[in-house]
Amino acid sequence: MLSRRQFFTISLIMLVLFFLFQVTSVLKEQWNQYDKNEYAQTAYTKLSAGDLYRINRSAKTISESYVLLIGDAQEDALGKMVKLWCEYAKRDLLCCQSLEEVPWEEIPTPKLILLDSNYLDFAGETEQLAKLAEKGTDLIFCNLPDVNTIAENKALRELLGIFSVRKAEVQLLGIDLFEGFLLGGRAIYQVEEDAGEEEKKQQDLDLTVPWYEVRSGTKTYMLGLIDKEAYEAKNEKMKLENENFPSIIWRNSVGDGHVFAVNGNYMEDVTALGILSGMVYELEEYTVYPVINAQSFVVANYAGLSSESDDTMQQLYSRSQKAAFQDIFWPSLTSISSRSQDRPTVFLAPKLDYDTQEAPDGKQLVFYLKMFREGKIENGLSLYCTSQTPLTKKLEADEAFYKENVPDYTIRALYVDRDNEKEYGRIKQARALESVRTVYMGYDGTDAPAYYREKEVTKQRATQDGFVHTFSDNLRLRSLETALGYSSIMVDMNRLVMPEDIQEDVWEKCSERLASYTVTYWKPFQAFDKTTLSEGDQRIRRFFAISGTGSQYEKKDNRITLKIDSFDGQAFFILRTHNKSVSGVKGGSFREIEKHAYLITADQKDVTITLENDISLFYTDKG
Amino acid sequence: MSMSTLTILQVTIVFMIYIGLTCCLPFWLLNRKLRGFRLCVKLMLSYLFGNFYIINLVFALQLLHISNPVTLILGVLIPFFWVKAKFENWHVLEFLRMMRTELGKVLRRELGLKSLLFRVFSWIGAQVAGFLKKCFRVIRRNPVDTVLFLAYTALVAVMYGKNLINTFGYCTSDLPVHNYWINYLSRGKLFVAGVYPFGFHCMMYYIHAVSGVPTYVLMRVFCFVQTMFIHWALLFVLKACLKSRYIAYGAAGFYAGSLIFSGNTYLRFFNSLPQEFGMIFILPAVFFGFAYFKYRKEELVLAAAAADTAPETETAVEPQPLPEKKKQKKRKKEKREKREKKPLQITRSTWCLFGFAMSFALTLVGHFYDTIIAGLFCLAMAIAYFFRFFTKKYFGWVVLTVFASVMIAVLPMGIAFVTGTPLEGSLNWAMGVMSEPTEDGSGAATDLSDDADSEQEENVESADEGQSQESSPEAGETAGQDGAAGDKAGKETGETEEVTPPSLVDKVKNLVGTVDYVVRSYVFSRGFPLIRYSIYGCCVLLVVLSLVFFLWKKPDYGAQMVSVSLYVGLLSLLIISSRLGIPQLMDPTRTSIYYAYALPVLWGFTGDAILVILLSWTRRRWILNLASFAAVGMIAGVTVREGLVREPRVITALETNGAITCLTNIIRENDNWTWTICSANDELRMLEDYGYHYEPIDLLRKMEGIGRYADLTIPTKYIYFYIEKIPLDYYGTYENSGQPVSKEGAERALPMGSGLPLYYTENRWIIMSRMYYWAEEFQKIHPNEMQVYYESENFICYRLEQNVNKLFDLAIDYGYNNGAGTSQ
Repeated sequence: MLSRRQFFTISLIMLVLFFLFQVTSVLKEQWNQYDKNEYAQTAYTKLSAGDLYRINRSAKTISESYVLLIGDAQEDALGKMVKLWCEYAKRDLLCCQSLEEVPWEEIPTPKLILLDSNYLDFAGETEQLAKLAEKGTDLIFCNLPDVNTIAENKALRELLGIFSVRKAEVQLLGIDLFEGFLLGGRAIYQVEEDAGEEEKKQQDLDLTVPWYEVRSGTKTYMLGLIDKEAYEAKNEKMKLENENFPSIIWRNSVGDGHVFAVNGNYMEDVTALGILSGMVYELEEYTVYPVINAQSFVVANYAGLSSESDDTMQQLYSRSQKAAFQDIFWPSLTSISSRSQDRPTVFLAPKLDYDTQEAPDGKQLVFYLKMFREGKIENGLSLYCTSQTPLTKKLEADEAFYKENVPDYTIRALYVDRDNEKEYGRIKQARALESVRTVYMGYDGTDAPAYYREKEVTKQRATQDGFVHTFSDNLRLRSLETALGYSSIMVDMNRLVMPEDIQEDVWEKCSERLASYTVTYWKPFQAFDKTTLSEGDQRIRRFFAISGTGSQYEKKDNRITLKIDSFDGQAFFILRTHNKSVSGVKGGSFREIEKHAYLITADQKDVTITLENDISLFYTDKG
Repeated sequence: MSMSTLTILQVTIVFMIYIGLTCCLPFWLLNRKLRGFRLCVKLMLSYLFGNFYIINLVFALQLLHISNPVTLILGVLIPFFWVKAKFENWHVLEFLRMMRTELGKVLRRELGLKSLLFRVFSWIGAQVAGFLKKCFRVIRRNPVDTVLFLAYTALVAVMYGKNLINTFGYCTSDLPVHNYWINYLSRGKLFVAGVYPFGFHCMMYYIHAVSGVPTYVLMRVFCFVQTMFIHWALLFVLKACLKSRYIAYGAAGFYAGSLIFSGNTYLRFFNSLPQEFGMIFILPAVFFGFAYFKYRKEELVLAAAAADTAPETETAVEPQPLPEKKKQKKRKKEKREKREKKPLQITRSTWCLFGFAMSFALTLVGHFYDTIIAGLFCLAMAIAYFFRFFTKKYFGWVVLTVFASVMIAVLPMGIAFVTGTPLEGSLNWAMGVMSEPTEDGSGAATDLSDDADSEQEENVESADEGQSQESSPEAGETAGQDGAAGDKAGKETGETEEVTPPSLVDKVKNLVGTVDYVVRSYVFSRGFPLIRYSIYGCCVLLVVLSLVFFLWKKPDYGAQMVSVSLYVGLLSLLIISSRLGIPQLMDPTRTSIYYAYALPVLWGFTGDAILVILLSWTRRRWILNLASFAAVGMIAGVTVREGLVREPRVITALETNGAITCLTNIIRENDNWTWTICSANDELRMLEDYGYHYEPIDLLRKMEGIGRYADLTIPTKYIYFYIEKIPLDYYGTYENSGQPVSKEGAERALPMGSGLPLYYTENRWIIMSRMYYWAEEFQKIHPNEMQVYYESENFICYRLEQNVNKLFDLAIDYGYNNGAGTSQ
């Protein structure tokens, strides 16, 4: 039997426990300012396109470290990529469509010349190029001429370091990208013979290339892989070593200069950006250049507020669309993003079909906004819809929906799908889009991955599809991380809501692929920051405002000094060295990306980086 | 850390390992059994036993093809503990029972593990403390000896240690060969290049296999250890033989520290060579020979006395015969009682025979030259002890012992030879006919293992060492005026004269003159006529003084004196053998080493004999000791006053210090088999267990004439290129020795031929010049991959880091490889 005192004590303890547990939930509810976009303030910067550093393209005012392009920077894909790279690398660019056009007397001798073979006359200009190289100008052949041109021109072969043209065309087994050129380490792009269908689809690189054998004085960065046994069986007298394999990207030394060659069409899309950065790194004792340092994980068309696809969801997942999103997709997405430590940005699609009367679920919106707030996830608006509703009408409906449920919420990020890119240009002044600071778009290999779209609005493009990762995707990822420290995975949920292939477009398979890709392929780039799109926007603005760095290297003290113009609170740089390590940074901090590659975070305008030599003898013969 | 500090640490570790294995363990085992011997004798016996056992253990395991660190360690520990248990009557079963009980307590939680460990460590600590107490007791009882011993050790350490911490490379071209033989012991290949005395190599291999010390480090630093033991052996033998207490320190110290001796006589001590290793065992062999004769005599006398005084026993009544079973029981009981009461007893003379056998065998497995010298001393001993040696009670045992020691030493070599391993090159010489003397008496012995000698001579400042023979005016004075055989300086006219046969006196004079001339040329650094004459005087004096001891009924000491005198005489004949027209067993340069080593023995015995005779009027030992101490002081004082103290030498190595520094760092910082060193030659064997070697001549030849069209790769991630900016004089000098690499050298044609001569003299300069410009050009092509790893005034090392999946083609046009170089 309990006494009154005991009864009272037990009741009091239970009340206290109840209160403690409940009050934390209540406070969490109270303090969850889900109705306000936290990134509206925290990720804001006043920089705009007006602060964009513009590279010089006039021969009269060009700086000494300019890049000369023999090609077409306006019309040609290759030229456009070179121009884009120069803007990112803050290097002045002079573009001429032939060597004859170059005003040699007016300009200082270029240190770096990028060549589009389609704009060169190798019969007459090879000698001139060779002389330039011998005197110390570095040449980059962004593409190579026809194999017959090379085979017939000995001087050109010597310039390129080609020992022999073994075959006009050879079918490769795969491609080996060696470590140290692009960030991310070594990669072998080869599918095993016994691989499944899914794995075979990964191979989308161009495996038919001319067989150029390079030897003395060269260094290879990317190598084609040949079936050695099959080749040796076919050609009895030939014994193949790795040194005989066809080179894809390599460097030759001519006099005081170096000549790079790219055997393939890698320079015609954004993959060129990292390749050029890698080449410049190979030419210098060290390179330091500004980068964006933003890796985003974007979930587009998150249609968890409506029920247009209830039937399909019922069939596939035995629940309604809203329930499927809430109970299956959402937990999985958060789990994947937290495992890969991503900071997702979710573009909620209030509705997909604006022709129906059904209104999107306000409660679900509040639920998700609360979840986003807790998980520091950014919310954005999607322009995608399945119906033919004009975008303006869609925007009005969405605006009303938000005002009704979360009147104080500010949308900063907008997703524009491929079909609506042109349409967006017409409606960008809409009132609903006044607060938008960054526009997110799908992947386009020929367009800049990050740039200004308008004066106050930046554009960020997806660089990878979350559900597909081929070899060319991987190469592009490494390239962009090298050039900009930037990547963006897009997970388009529309594929699940409106599946084209019932067998393949199921969450079970898609999430498995997504999880394995994000954990595996982004692992080498852990040093870069994961950001939401608004945070990425801030970093992009700061990146474009920097006018390049006056970096100075003091060999005696083994120090690099950076002086940053137009500094806005924070800036990021990649420092790549040969045979040196960073021991300290004054005015900032550093993180090692991989061996001899560091991410420098500058917190002040002037940064001093102290290096130490890799070669340091433990035993000396002094003393 | 500086290389000098590292070297000191390395030599300390090697010293401790070697002393632990060869002195401490055997001493701990045999100490009680050797009761009755003096400490220096105990130490000698322990040391001999340790070396003998380890070397033969390695031979046995190698021949059985089961040699590895485990078997090598167990091969020492198991017999050690088994014999120790027998000697100490350890009850192993009881011990195991005790351990079981203790472990049981631990398992039952009655005793904590920490408590158990505490007990174990306390026991070990008590043993160590007991040992240290004994050491301190010895030191307390012999303070002067301790001080003099430490001073002597310090003297040797300074004389030979300075070079060790200043010169890191090998100082003779023989060492890579020995390094190679030791490396192959690790691969289970005994006698890889042919049958050869492998005692030194077995010992090095053992230390390397068990402790992990790299072989090249052993080859660098072991010279210090063995030199120390050479000097300790001299001291201990003198201490054991001489009657006065301190004369030994004076004689040995004078040998170690004075500058009277030519560089010939001690420069080989700066290298870890088998001959010098075997030298340690020569004097102990002789000592144990002396001791055997002495102790055997005493035992025979005691036995005879015991036999004389044994009481006559009455014929007893025969007991009743016991049944068979009872007889067996009784026999077993008697045996057991006998074993318990009387553990194994070995007489002192028997120990001495063991000691002699082990030392002689060790000279055989060390180097045959040491055996020759030991044999000469034994011959002298046999002559001096003729009155005992040629008697029944001695002759048989001695001959049997010699036979046994030779058999033990030769057995592994014999087995290898019989199973198909050919003799090594230098042994073929030894087995063949000895060289015939040439007309000018200079001798034409070309022992293949003499490479070190000739290089040694060329490396040393030969002019300062008085090696010039014929041109020396002083040498001419004592060479004999009458055209004696082998005397070049004397033969100025070259006219033929009618020769009348010389008289006996003339012959003796000529002989002495020739000996003096050769001794002055090879043994002494300058004339020092007084000191030279003292040799001959001491030889005669010893014989004369020995008569006194014979008269005083101390025939042992008298015979020892005669032995030493005869030995020096035989050495004198050996050193001039080619001039006498007899087969030359050893080059005079080599003989001079043993000759100089014999002189402190000669002087020690002479001084001791004089002191003993002069102070024979008193029986007070302390007076004799005081006098000997005063003599030591006098020797030291005169040496210092006359400026006869030798400066510690630093000799030229056949590698730059930079090369060894780089190698040490390379081995430390890289995984094995991921790197290649491209260097002239010595590194080939040094890095054989860790990485790869490539010769620069191969590199240069492959791109000669065809330049960048050669296909030249080395498939390791790192390649280190050793380039001497000022090429060494490897095996001799040439006209422009010491000149740096230059374009002129690079323009010269590459040397032809193969082998080591490619890196001699001017050839080395050409190769290094080519390499220098090749490296510069290659660095221009690959500035970020080809880095300077180390650079000093005379040496530079480049490091090339390459992708092993796409190797760099090292063949380039570097401006001098058009194949049209100017001929030499």
